[in-house]
Amino acid sequence: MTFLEAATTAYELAQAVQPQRHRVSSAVMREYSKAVQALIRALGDEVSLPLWEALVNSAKAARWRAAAEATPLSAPGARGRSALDEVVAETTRLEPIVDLGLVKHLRRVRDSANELCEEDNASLAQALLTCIADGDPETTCVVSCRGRTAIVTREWLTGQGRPRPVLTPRDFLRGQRWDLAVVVGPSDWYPSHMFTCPNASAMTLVHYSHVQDSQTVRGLFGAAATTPIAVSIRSDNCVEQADKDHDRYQEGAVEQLPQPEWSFLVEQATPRNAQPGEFQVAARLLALAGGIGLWLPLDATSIRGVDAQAPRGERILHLRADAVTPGAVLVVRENGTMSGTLAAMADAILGPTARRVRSRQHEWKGRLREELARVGSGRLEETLRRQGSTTANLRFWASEDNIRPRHDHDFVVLLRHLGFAEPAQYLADGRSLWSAHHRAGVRLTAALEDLIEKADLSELEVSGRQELQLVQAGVTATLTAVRVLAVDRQAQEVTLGATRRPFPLKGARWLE
Amino acid sequence: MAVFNLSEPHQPLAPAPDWFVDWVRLGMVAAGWCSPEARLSPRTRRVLVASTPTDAVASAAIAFGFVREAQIRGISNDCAVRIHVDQLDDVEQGTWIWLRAAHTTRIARFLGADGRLLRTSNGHFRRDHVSEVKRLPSWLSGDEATGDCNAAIDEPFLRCMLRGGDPLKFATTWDTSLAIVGSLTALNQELDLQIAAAEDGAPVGLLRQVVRPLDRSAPIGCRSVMASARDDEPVWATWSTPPAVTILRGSYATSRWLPDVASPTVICILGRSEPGVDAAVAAVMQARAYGEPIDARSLSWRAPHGCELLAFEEPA
Repeated sequence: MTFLEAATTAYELAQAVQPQRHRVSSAVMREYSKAVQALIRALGDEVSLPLWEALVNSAKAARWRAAAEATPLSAPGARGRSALDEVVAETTRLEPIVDLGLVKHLRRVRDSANELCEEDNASLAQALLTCIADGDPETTCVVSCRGRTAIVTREWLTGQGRPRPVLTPRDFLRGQRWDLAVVVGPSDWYPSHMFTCPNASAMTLVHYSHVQDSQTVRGLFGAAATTPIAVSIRSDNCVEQADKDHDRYQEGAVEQLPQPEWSFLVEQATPRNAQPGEFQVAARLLALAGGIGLWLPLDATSIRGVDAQAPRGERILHLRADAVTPGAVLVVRENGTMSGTLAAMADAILGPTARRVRSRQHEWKGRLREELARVGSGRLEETLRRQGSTTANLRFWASEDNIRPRHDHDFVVLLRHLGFAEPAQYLADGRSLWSAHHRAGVRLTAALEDLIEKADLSELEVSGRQELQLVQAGVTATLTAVRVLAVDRQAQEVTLGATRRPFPLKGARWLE
Repeated sequence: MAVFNLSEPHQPLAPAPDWFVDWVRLGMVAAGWCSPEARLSPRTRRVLVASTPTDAVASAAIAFGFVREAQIRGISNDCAVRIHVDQLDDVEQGTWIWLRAAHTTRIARFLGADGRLLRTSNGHFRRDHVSEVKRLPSWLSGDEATGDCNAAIDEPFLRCMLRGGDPLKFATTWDTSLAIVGSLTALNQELDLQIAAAEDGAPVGLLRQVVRPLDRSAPIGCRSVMASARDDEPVWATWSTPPAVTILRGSYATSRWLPDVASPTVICILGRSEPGVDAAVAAVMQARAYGEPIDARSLSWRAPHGCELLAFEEPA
């Protein structure tokens, strides 16, 4: 197919696409979901207490994994069973020590977990086999929302004598065209463009009938679009009838996506050693794979990310904070910060002058901190503005994350106020540092591109993290490409120094 | 009925698909926005972002429509300064000039004038034979060995595409009204598509011949400038006037350059299946947060089927 034909086919598919659903009615799974939901509701605010953490997390993980892995729980590599075992063990442990009012909920969760273990997720697994049987094996694929889940499903299908490619959404969107794609899970678990820009002539979503998602998938711009697009998902009425015979219990698909108990994580992640007057910024907490947390400032504009599928030279992305969503891959330095790596590279670029330049920078920053401690930020800002400064972001200027004030004029006003009668050298140093940091940034991106090009990224796909050894401009550093598991939508005030610095975070590994 | 026939190189021509014609129309509409009577306030920037099933070909089609319509409407931003032949003695030696003498159009370094003779690094010319001279902008260095332009201009094809416009004038003007930023490999592949008017016996040419991106190895004139999205500096950084329209092809170009584009009209093409589309949408939504939405009816253009459009105006 020529690229012009391929483009025409893409437009035709986008116009003609009409995904349909194959909903699986399972009384056992529905009862388990209801029991978990009832327990969480009964716990109320207590849900974030450490006492309940293991049970609530494993209960949610089991619900998610059983619905996202369309395989029997006993399939090799499937992880729903281990989560259910933990649910049973935790309910048994907690039963003697909790209020009587909660005991009935614990028992209901335990009984339904046992039933689900017995049922072995067979109804969803059977539905997947039924759906793929509709297509030619050569031109049918399965789409799974997570890389690890895709691997488990592929192995199970092969074991069943029905080998099919099982793809992540990203691979599905960029690979060959398919006649039929069977998508495991509701539409809300997938990027909208998988449906508005399909890579298959027909798509079937297979998921539990009590999991409710949008009937219509909207485009990238959602309600903001000037000319919107929307794709309707057809329903299979026979399953609706089957559901009516049971009950109409429904759960939102989005609520089933693994989300940690943020209040618990935020409490754990909030820095304890903040100094009075330290520069504070609004930041969101990210839960990363491998039990790592990261505070990301809301106004961050250049956190490095990886898109391994992008063309060469475009695999390292400079993400804005609001583009960091679950599933994105970030590059972090676990024992330090990326800005520390950049600073070391910038020093190597500056060569012998680095020491002198840094020393002068420490000198004016030290005096600024002293002045801030002496008169306070408000008064100092007022003074500088009276002297003609147009900006006065004083605590940020004093922090190590800032090289120097952006405008020369403001820098001169500040330096003169701090007692530096001849500011020219400090201005020149600031420019050299800026230039060195810029060049270091370009080199770091190029070096990361090379590392990603050469690396076998299967570890990143499976475990969500992969170490990358950087040797560049005389700097050696271990960087980690790590997947974002969840992002707290609620921002918190934290010290600037605590941001962009990975730290161990308990209580989110169940999301993996 | 198709307006154009289209094909890849060495393939038989076929009626251009509707989506291609729709993108060409967007280019034409954008050219209309650049006319003096339709120009927005200089402090306003119009941004159109299209999410498409694929980012292939759309940018080249828009560029084709824009350049063709701009030529027909006489809209150009000629970055080469015309000099009267008699004033050449005041021009500093070594300056890059463009000159036309009879049927010859060349660029060269000006090496001085000896009475009736103009000396250049690319040949000497009799002053009375030189009909037109322009000084090239400082950001544009030439090639000492640039040949005559006439052989490279497919006059029948251009005359047909430009609806009777003068092909020589079209091909030898330095117009920087349009900048296209994206993957140069992809853009070059798209500009090599063959096109012809959908009429019997219509001459066949390439999109490139109309879009005429600046070719530094043979710079006789240009109608647009292409730049890689991976460049460190924006291509227009040293221009005295920013391009009237900038097309950002793809997610990477959009997320990297949208905040910096100085053009009054910016068109972003986002292939929905392309990498980095979420980052590009975040950049677009951030820009839109400070803008005013544009009503679809006021655009005088409808996006191809399967495409989604976001249009807004924002302070430049």
